[in-house]
Amino acid sequence: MPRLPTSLIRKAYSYSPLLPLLLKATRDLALAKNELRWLQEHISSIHRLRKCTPKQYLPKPPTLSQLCRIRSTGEPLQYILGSQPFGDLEILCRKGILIPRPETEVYTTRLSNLLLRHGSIGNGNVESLQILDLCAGTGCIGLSLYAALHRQIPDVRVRAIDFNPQARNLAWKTVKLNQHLGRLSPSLSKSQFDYVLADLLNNEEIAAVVQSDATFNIVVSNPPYISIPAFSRDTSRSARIFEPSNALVPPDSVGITGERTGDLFYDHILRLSWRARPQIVCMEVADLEQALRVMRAVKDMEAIDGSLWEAKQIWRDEIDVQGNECSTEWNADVNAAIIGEGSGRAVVLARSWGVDVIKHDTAAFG
Amino acid sequence: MLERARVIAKDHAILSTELEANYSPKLAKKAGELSETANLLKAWEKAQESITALEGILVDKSSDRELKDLATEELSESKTVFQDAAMKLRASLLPKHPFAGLPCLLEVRPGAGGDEAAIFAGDLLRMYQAFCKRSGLRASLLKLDSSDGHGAEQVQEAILEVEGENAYDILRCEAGIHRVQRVPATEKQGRVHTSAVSVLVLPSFPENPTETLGTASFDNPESDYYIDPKDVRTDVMRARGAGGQHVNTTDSAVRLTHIPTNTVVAVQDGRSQHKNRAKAWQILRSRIAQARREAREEELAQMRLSVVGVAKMGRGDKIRTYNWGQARVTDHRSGITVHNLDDVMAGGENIDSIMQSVRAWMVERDLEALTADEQLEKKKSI
Repeated sequence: MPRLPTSLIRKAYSYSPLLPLLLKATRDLALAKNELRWLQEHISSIHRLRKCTPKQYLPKPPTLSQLCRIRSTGEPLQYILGSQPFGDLEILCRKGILIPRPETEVYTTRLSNLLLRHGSIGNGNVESLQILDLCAGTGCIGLSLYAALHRQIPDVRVRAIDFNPQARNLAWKTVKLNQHLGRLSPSLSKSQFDYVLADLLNNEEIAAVVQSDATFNIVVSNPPYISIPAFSRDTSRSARIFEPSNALVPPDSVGITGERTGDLFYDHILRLSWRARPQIVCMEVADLEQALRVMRAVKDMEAIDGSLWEAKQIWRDEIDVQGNECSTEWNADVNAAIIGEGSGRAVVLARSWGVDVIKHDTAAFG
Repeated sequence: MLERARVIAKDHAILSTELEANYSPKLAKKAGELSETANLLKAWEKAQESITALEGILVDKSSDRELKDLATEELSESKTVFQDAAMKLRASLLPKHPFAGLPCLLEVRPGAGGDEAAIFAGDLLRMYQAFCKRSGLRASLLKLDSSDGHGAEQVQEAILEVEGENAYDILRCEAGIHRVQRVPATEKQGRVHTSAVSVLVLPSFPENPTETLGTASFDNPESDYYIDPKDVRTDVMRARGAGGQHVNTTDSAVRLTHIPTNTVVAVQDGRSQHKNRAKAWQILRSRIAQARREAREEELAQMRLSVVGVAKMGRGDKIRTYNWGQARVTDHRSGITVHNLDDVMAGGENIDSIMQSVRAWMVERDLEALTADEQLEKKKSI
């Protein structure tokens, strides 16, 4: 990591003596200024809360310089503030659970907009929709899809699966918070948002929570996908030290080395998808190479089990969230359209009416 | 002019009888709009009648002296009432600015003059904030791009969103080049510099089109603020790297580019990508609508210019000078000069009187333009 230029640090200091601390974490002056303002707002909201609570029940509020000092060690701002906005929702963040990423927000927003644009959903003709969120963590993907869709579709059900009980508790706190803020319907209960504990890598545990005859319309997943070499090479210091590595890197598996150590979960997701017969599958990946590896795995599965997917796409980071046309290229090797610009971010598979949803703008590839 | 007013009054009468027969909110709204003119016309006609009656008494030889004295007194009174009514009537005939009732975005950017211009931009921003606070308008800072230097805040770009009744109507007279003449903080030898700051005032459109906006729906391709989503490129700006799970950034900057006009809006102030995007769309809509409106007005102004020498005040002309040495503020449009600079910069009552004079000037100018249009039409019909 290159050293920060002294001139930049001096510039930051002249703005506020606390800014160099934040600059250490963000390495970008404009972002450091924003973070300083967010921390200030956070502290004043704590003080506002204290005004209506008897003082003896409350711990001493932190000072701005304390928070800046904590942030300067690389501790993610989301853990300090306790939340991260995601779509329309406020997602709670705690140590030990992965922080929702802006890239995830982009493709989730695009997916929900594409679904809303789809004729029969937009017209309110679809009665119910079943969503399966694998490796759910904070539950941000499933919950934001629920928030976007439930106004159009009376019966949206989200089954979230993760092996971390703390993540489940936190997700329910997130639900309560957003109901309080009016962002989620107050009627959302366990029957619509069913967060169950199971390890996706453990077939018996999964069989216990997803019955063999259970079907879902949409499967989404943001599984750990960073390979062991990439973990020490590509991750930021803050993510590496402060975020749970079990949410970033799949566990060791015999006989797999190098970049392929990141691919462990996709086989399990694909096999579960084969059984659950969803119309759309959307999986986050690390980069275009991994996306292509996943696509090849899909092709291999199809060679054995017969063709299931009628449309395949890879979404890159810079992609229109409204679901509009973007620059598109065709990869003949895996029969997939690669949409947008930037790093490859999501593998999207569709069949039946799911094809109309995701092919909104790529009819040319028929 | 009078003909126009009579036509409107007639329309109003027809509408009211219709309303009595069958009520509809749309008609009622229209009638309400016309009623002001109709009532003013009645007042004007009444004043005129009383003047003719009084003059009749004066001319009549049979009336006695006492009565004549009374009549002369009343006549002068009636004449002022008449003039007042005529003025109000004229103003009411002006078409109401279509965006007058909307909240507005006030953008401040430094022009020629380097750091000093940026410092003055900060001064102006604070002036408008204080003005809004005093006049009961809600002002929130949508965007502030500033740095510190020479002991004062230097503003590179600031966008203030002002909400409140008729916010756009109140502030639209502020758009233009504001000139400052003073010894700047950056000057070491005590010389007076002249710098400029540009102020842009745009109507701000609500996030959801409402009934009150009528034709101005976002989905209506005819309306000024329709933007084809296909023409807009959305970038989520981030320091590039592996992204995704590799990096836990807090950067939620969003940049929208309107491709046909190459208008770029970037917002990064909020933590929520979703809200930054909504804000960016709001700003983009305002800018595009204003550009379209200006293009249309330009065309109209060209037509008017051929009739009378009314110059359209665009962005290029300076509209006001703030002179520190003489502690005065002069507005070049209405010609008003105020000698309480400190009060003006603090957003005090003196800025009100300047803005009022400019608004009166604008009414005057619009009237001239309206008469010019009517003359043009007459010429055409002949």
